[in-house]
Amino acid sequence: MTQCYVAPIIEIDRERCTTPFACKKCLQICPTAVFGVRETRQVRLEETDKFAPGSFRLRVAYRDKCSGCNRCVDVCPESALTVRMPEEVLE
Amino acid sequence: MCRMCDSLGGTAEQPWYKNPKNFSNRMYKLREPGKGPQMAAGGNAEPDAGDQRASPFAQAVEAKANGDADTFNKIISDMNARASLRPGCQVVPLHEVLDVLDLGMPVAAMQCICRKETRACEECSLKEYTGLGLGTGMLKWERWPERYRGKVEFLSSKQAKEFVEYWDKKGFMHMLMQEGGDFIGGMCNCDYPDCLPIRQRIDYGLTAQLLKSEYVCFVDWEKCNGCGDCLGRCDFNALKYEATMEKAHIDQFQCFGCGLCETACPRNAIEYRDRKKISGLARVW
Ligand code: SF4
Ligand code: SF4
Ligand code: SF4
Ligand code: SF4
Repeated sequence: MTQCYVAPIIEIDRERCTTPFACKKCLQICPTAVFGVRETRQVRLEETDKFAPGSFRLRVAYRDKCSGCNRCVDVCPESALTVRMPEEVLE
Repeated sequence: MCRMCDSLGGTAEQPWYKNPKNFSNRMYKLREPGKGPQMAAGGNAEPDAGDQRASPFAQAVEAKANGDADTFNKIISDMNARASLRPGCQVVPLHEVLDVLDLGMPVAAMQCICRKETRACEECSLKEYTGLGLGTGMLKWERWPERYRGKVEFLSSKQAKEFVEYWDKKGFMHMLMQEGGDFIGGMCNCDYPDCLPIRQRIDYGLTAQLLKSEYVCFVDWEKCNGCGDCLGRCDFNALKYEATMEKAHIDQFQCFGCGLCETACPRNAIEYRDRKKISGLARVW
């Protein structure tokens, strides 16, 4: 049996985070590598332009590993991230 | 014998990855009439966890993050039961990688897609590439430039060996990748936490994603002087300094037999033992 702890909720504002593969700040600063990034579409004979808005998409891939340290929130130049513990846990 | 050898023509003397048949892949079979080209795996962004279309793995991670151990354990054990019919990747120590590279020609250096996904690393030239694509399938890499971002570089047998030795020194362990279960598609140089198979096994208990190597490593305490050069090389939480004995310590059940500690030891104090010949470890894959 694996021990499971409730982890913080991480929200990504994708209106603000549009080119995550070019920016990559949160992806590289997170101590436990919680985030993941992929191209939204893989097109035959074409390499995806990482500067084209929406061509890559950031996602929370391993939320169970988030400690709530907030380093990603602090590093994000677009203020696109929020990290918060669900209130019922804090009470 | 592990499941890989059962299904892929390995024997007690020769593991599956030394059987040349597994490198002569079937990627060039003719397409069935009327069938169009297939989308490459991972072509579309994965839906967020919580989305109904999320993969079982993403749902397991979400359950874990919600503190729901029952759901988490159920999904993982279902995934393990399904995957047990189908081989995944296997750890292979440096000396055996060097043996099998010739079987996998043509060999091309390429970006690692796990590092691309987890740390947004961009490997765009031979100096940066960390992966090797093996076999004739590599000859059609140009169809999918996104999959092979920054192109690929075909290597001679000698260059390929130097390539793997270089990354071994840097601290990446090696694994052979089964693609689709019937041929060896790649040789990766990996570490935790960016490598998806290592992570899925270590953090989530998906055993079939990554099998241990045919070996397990032991420290010869006559030769080890406790210098600590090997420490920090292990991706599997198997290696530590045992202060009581003033020697390096390997947990036999945690050890994946990757040999990274062995290649770092200046005193040859670490030895490989055949996992299949040690009664308590022969079934620990
Ligand atoms: S740091 Fe902010 S803008 Fe940059 S990839 Fe992360 S969320 Fe997007
Ligand atoms: S809060 Fe810390 S642990 Fe959580 S995602 Fe951000 S950087 Fe990673
Ligand atoms: S103890 Fe050595 S051989 Fe075993 S997994 Fe760790 S680094 Fe690899
Ligand atoms: S590098 Fe070799 S001699 Fe040094 S602690 Fe490790 S096993 Fe012992």
